[in-house]
Amino acid sequence: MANIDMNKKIQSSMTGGEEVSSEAAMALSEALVSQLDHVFDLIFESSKQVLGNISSIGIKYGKSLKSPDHMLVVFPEDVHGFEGWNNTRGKNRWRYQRRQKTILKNGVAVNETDAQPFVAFVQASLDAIQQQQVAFSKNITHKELQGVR
Amino acid sequence: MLERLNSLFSGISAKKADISASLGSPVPANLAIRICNQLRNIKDYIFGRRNGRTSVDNTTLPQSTPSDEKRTNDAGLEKGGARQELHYQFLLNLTCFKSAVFHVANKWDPDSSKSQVNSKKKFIEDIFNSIWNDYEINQLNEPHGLSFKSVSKPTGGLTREQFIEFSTRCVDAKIQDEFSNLLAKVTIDAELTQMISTLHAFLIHHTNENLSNLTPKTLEENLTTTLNAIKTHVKTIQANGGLGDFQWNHINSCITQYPSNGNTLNTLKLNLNSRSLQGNSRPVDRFGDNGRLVDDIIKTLEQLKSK
Repeated sequence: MANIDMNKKIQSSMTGGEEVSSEAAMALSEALVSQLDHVFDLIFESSKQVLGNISSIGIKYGKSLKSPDHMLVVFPEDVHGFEGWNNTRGKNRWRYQRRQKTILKNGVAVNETDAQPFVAFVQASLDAIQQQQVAFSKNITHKELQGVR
Repeated sequence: MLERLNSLFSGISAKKADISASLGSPVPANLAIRICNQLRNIKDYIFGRRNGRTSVDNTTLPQSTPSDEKRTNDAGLEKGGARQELHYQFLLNLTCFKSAVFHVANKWDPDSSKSQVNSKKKFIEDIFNSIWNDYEINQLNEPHGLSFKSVSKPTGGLTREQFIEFSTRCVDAKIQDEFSNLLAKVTIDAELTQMISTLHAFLIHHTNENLSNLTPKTLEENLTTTLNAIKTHVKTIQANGGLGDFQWNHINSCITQYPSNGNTLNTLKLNLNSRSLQGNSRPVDRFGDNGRLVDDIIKTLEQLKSK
């Protein structure tokens, strides 16, 4: 079996000269995707190490854990964010699709600049984890998330 | 507008739910603390600090304190359980440490600047130091019955001697050496990495099983078979001039850190010829969903055998 140099693979895929489609215009930078993948891998794998086989891990945080303001749900290929859920305005629903490398805000794909609030949202969830001011739920399903209003 | 988008996104689910509703299954407080501990400081590492520094120093690493243990005990652990908890947490921390090392290895960029290299190195070193500090604190934590001296044959656990041997090996300077090797390594064998990851999940699962309710018996063939298969694979790769010592050291530490004559990983027998897992008279389906992991390992090892 031949060895695979992952660094070369990444480099070669980056040097191909292809046309930029409108979809690609919403593409996120490798640096951002790498950061997000890194975070979500660590969250999912660490949770898995503690909880055993899980299909998803939900992290709820905010002023009150009984009625959390925010929730991040990490699936292996997909991440959902519910921001400001107790607000009457400024309530945002985020979705990061790892395979497609896209971020959706309230169902609409956003470019890197407009994705920054999502990054800040993820950072805030990590702060909450560090302060142990979070509640976790495991095995939340996509179907359950569809019902969240 | 937002409501309309939300409703489009939400599909046709008739049942309304909000995020405070019981989505999924709640995670008990003691397990939540473990997850938080595993994940501490990742924001600083990945996104950098607000003040501009990107590395993590020891002053920011929360240390386990007697009050932390108290919280854990308040979560319902009995005294004997708390001893197991110490041992179990230590295993998890080391697993997390090794995952972090591997993650850095996978993301390795040969064009990294010196400061980026130092940042990664510092991150790994800090995790290692944190684990060691936690361990030392617990070791000295006499009032809570978590003293290193008091770790003598916890129910279903290791003997004191085995625990000492295990701990010494885990925190041995060899781990630091492995880390040095890692930093020198830029080529990663993807299949091997995947295999190790699967094997790791397997080890973790059985550690869980053993700490909870399995009776210790001595069956080491699973380890021997697995070890030999991996060893052969690594030798093949090395013959092709692909790998340094890191992968082998990692596999070796993955396996040898679990004492073969203790209570971990010795109640199962992985039979490659019959593609079965024999577990001291316990059927394979006892392991439910985790049977998939076993199947993955067998398939991976079979692929190696045919090479």
